[in-house]
Amino acid sequence: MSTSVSAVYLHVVDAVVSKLRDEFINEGVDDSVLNELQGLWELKMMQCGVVQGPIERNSAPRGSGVPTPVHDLNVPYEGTEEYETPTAEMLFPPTPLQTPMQTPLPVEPGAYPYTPVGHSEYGTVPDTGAASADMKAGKPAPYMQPPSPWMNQRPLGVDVNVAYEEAREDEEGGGISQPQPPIKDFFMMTSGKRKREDYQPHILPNGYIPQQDGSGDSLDCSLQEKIQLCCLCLPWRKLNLMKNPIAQNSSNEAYAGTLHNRLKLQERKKADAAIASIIRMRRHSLTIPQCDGFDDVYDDGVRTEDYNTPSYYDPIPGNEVGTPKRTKAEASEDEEPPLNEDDDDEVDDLEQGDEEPNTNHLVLAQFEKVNRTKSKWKCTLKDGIMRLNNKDILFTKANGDFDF
Amino acid sequence: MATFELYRRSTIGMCLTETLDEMVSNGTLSPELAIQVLVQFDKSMTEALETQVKSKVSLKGHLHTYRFCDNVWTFILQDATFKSEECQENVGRVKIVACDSKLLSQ
Repeated sequence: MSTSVSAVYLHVVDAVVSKLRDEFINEGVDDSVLNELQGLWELKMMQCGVVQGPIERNSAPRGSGVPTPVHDLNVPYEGTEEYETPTAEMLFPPTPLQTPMQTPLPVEPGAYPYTPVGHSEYGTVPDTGAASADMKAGKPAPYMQPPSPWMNQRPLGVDVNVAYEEAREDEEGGGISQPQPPIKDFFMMTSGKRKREDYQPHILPNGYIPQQDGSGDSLDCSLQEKIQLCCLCLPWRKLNLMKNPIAQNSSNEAYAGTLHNRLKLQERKKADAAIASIIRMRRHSLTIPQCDGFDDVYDDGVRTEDYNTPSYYDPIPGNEVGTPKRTKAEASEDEEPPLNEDDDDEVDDLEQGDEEPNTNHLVLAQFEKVNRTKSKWKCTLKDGIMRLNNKDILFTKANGDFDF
Repeated sequence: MATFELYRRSTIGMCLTETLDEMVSNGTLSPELAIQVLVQFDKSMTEALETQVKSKVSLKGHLHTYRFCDNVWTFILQDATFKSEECQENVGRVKIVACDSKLLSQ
């Protein structure tokens, strides 16, 4: 009876471990690391079902001459103490560090993009002053005292932190224990005064200020109305100006006045034309053609549209004073062009079809011969591992007959 | 000596890869040592398949796709049957990846 799959795998594990033992010793790595590797590897194979436990090993002496204890692999692997998750005491010595500490930003807990390993253990560390002083380098735990006491204990003050400390003191004066950016901004914003410098004045070169101060103002009608108003103004002004030459004494002066008025009229007409062109430009500039992301039309006419987010080309409602606000999806899509990495997924899905999703049947082997006659393929394989129907089958030789 | 990394995709190979990933992630093992472990696994697996396994298998099926690239044949069979002296397996779709056996002996 040939050796079973489980036995072969265990043989491989033993061979690998024994051949690496010397290598690990040369690297200065403890033998327990190798044992841990072996234990975890075997445990995973048992979980996959390719190896049956309990694993019985013969008592062949190992290279080191010390028999390793056979531990029960049916229980979850419990590492020795030295390989436990490092606690805060291990990572951070109890004595406070002399070097200046990094100042954590006053953000809410959880806003850190990276949490160093081991900080989850802080819940078990007693809340001593030293520990909290060390913990400030990382994510502050929610149970911590307000940061003010240990902030003042810092021996060295980096210039960068001075402004930060001042801000903190201001907040403490306001009676806030845990500084939070929303509250901070809220206080600043409720002053109620909006400075005129906050808004960019949209003044055209001729002094014409477009106004969209009503809801529902759209560019087209409001500006056109303005143009019409300007044109309407002209006859009135013309009349007004025409009155003046009548009041003049001499006819020459009247003629000069009329000429002057005509020049002014021409000037006004030019100004109006300039205004109209500027308006056209501005209208046109709002629709800058972009082919870098969202809502582009590609060559093949395939257009990706997301009806949940407003398109760039839709008229922007409301006050136009600030930059138009874009949704997060739009912003993220506009910054990076689509990678089109999923374009070929359909091909793979076709191959998958509606097969059972749990196993991807696989054969890994070496080929000795592959040949074809018309649509008949023949191949000779050797030394293969097959994973079929959640089972592992090994072979030393295989013959294949396929028709294409 | 070159090894076939092919067998790392098997169940035993994936278990080893996952174990090594975990140990490297928590700093127990250095990446260089992990690579040495994988190389040794390649050698030991190939040797075990040559010496420890005796069974032979025949396979039949409809060839859906064939590919030969970088001295590696990849076949995708549909409605395949695998027969050995012990058992028979039928699968709807299977992928076969085979490296050139002559490369190892060079």
